[in-house]
Amino acid sequence: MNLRAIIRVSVLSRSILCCLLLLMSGCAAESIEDYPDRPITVICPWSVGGATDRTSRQLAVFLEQELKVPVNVINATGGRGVTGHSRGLNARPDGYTVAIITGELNMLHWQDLTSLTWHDAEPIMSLVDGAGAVFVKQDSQFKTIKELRDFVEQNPGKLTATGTAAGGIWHLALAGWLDFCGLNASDIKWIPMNGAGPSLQELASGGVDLVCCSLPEAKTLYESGQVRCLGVMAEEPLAEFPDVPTFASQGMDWNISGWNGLAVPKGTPAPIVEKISTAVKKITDGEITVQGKTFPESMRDAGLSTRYRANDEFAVFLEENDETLGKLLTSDAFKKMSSRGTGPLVFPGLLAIAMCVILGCLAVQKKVHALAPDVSKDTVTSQGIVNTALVLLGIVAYQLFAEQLGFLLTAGAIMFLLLWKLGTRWWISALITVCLIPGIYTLFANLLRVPLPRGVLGW
Amino acid sequence: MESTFITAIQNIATPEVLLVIFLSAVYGLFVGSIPGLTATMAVALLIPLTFYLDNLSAIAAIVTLEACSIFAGDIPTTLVRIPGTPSSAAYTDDAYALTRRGLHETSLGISLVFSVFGGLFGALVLIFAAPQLAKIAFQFTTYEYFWLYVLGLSCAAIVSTGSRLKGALALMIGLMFATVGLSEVHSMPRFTFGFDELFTGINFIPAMIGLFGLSEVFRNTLTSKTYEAAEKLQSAVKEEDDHSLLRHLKPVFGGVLPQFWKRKFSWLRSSCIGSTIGMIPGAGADIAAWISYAVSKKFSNTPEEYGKGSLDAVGDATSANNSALAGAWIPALVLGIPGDSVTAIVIGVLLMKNITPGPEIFQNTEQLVLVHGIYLTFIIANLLLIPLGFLAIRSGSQLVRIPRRILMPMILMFCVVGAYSINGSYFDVWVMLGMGMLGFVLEVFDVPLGPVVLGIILGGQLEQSFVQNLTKDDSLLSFFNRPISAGLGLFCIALWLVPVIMPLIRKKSATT
Repeated sequence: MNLRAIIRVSVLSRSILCCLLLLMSGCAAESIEDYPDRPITVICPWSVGGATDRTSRQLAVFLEQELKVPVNVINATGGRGVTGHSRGLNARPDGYTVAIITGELNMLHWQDLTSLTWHDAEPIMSLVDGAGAVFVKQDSQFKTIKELRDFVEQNPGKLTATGTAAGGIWHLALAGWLDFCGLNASDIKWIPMNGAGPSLQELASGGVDLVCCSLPEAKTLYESGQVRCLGVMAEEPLAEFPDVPTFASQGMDWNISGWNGLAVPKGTPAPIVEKISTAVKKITDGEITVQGKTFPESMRDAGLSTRYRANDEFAVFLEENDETLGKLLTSDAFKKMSSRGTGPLVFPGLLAIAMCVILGCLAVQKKVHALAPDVSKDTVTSQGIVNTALVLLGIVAYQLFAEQLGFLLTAGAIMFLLLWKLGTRWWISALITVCLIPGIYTLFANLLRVPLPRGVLGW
Repeated sequence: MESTFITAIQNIATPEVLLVIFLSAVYGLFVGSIPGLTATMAVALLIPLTFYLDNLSAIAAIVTLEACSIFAGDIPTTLVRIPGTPSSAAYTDDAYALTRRGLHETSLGISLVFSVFGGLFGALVLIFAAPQLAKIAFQFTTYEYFWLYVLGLSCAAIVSTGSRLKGALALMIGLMFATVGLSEVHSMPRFTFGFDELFTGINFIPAMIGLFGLSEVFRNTLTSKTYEAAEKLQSAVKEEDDHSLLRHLKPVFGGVLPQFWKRKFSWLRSSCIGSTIGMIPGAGADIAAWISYAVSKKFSNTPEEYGKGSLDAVGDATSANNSALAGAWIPALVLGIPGDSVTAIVIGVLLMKNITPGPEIFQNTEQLVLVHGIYLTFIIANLLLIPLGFLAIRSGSQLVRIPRRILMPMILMFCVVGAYSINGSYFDVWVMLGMGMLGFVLEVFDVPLGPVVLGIILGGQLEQSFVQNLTKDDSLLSFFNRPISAGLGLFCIALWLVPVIMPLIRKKSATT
């Protein structure tokens, strides 16, 4: 009942909105009026399971309900966020690719890892804002953040901490706090780790002394009493964890948080931006329910603290955040941080040496040319060489033509020719092709929502 | 514990999950019974689909697929003397000798029953050993993990068939590929050659589809012949006319259960060997089958029959290769170190599904439900194998006759779509193509592919723990400063040094 009413309202509002948009942009191309008429892709720059991924997937479910088209999340991970951010923000600005951006967008360009800045994005809405927190093991000697500071003052370089990669947001948070206390940013050794999960496991097993990450990420271990939280780097205690003291209440006014939000590539037509903004606004206002839950409710259930800032307000926040992080990252204290003992080419170098040694041994043993028994048993035929060349050509042809012609035509032609050339009768080849290729397309593009190229035939 | 187990049962007993299990079983039997298509390849081709299934269905699909395809590998082994999967290679001669005596259905019946019971035994080992091991693993820090990665990679290189040096070479190739991209610990791009796509590194799933799937296509097309007659696999099975059900059931199951009861102790022995070998990182079902075969021959009263058609050999080796499957999941779940090439893929799937393998998954209720789901699926899959395996045996002689000239273009299409669909990126298809050619070349030079894949998967973590350890303390001695890490470290070093030193000692003692 409730759902139907909401759908009716949303349909109504959508049609009104469409009319308004039509009036506003009289000369807009047809595709803009019809937006959205095909699936939308959300690019998440971080891997599955983290706070950003959870946000992206929740949002996708609600967007799908609101915009009435499939919304898929792609985790374009790696490169400390460079990959995902550049894929999301360098996409075609047609509204069919939306990007989730995170605090790293305001850090990477200061560290010369990308030329991308928040100016390449059209901000829509900020979503999560999670303050950093410092955790120790339950049996640790530190009870308050002050005790920790005094210990570091006396024993610089003794403690080890982790939480994310070197130079990541939580490393910055901890080093910034040390700097704030008048200590050296390198007085606590930072062990680079891949995210909060493995870091907390390392803390629990006694491999490091401290972990700096956001509170919800440590929820399980904190609530089961295996780790203690010394303080959270927020202005106010978090609603979810009222017992955790803030840094400010312990006499250190140091706040920093990791955030994420939704953006579209710069240059997206205004009506489309407007449409997405309206939809997201409704979602974050809790007007839409999926399975009886609103977006803010599901985010709360996931333990994520949210802070919604719409369009211009988000832009202002981005500007400020960029400045703050830039100041931190370009200060002398952090410049030193990036230099480290084990260079990036040490490990590949060791591997190369090992490889040379192995190849040398193989050459001495004269074993390099031993053919695999099952290859030598069946002799290579001249027909076989032609067939293999055809297979190779098939893959290359697919790569070259699939985007223009579409999956059905390209794959169908390649499939038929291969079957035929490999020795099947032409009508059997045609039959297999006609059954198989649309089948694969339906399975992957429609059921599994893989963005297979549509091309001329569409489907 | 009990409540999560009940939740797991409830989650599995939904029509969707059961349908997924059933379909994967059929797919597994189909792929496994076609020579040249391995269980690993079947799982690799299934990966793009698992992204879109929920966690439990995805894992259940892989478990079922694995169990069924390993058994199905026995069908072409027995009927046409071509091992359907590498793990059937150990007893190919025995199984085919039985077929020539007209005992192929008894032989396959033995395979089926011993496989099912071996699989169930493996599942029990998984259920009881994994949580215990997880308790120990909770003490592990980066030092222990570093040695575990070294151990897993070393085992993969050493145990893989063929020359140890070539295994090591394959390992180095894999590790080198893992260094491509932005180094996680240094934030520095390496070997990207200006390609933005390489910033992420080489995605291991297209790499694997290429190494296992595409290279197989190349191998087949290179030796292909055009005329149909030459392609039909030679089978010793004669066509039959009688089609009544009882007439079918009797030769498969008749005499098998008494045979099983007679050999219950050797079954237990083989299953123990299987699940233990399975637990060793890098050693999979194929090695379990070989070792169990050797042990079985050693303890047999009739060792002269081995290799000439021994039912005992078939039974022992099949129960070992099936129990190894579940065993391989133990290090994968507890430590995040794959036991064989299938669990290597599974770890990737788990990571993509928001589950980080490691001791914590036995703590988190939600993930514990999934772990119990894995246990249950192993049991369901093995029970499902009884009726489906029977049908597969009956229809097997037809299945192995699908000509390769039809099969290869189909596999090629799935390789391309599979590689593309992971990220919707054409670059991944190029990676798949490159890896396919590399895989083919490596196989020509008899270099095993397993260590390459394991190197790509574990390389990043190995380097990371290496750098982490050096950041904590830059002396190499610190790698041995905790009791467990010292033990593991010495074991790894011994593993590599013993085969080098042994011949020297032997030579010395020979000369004196």
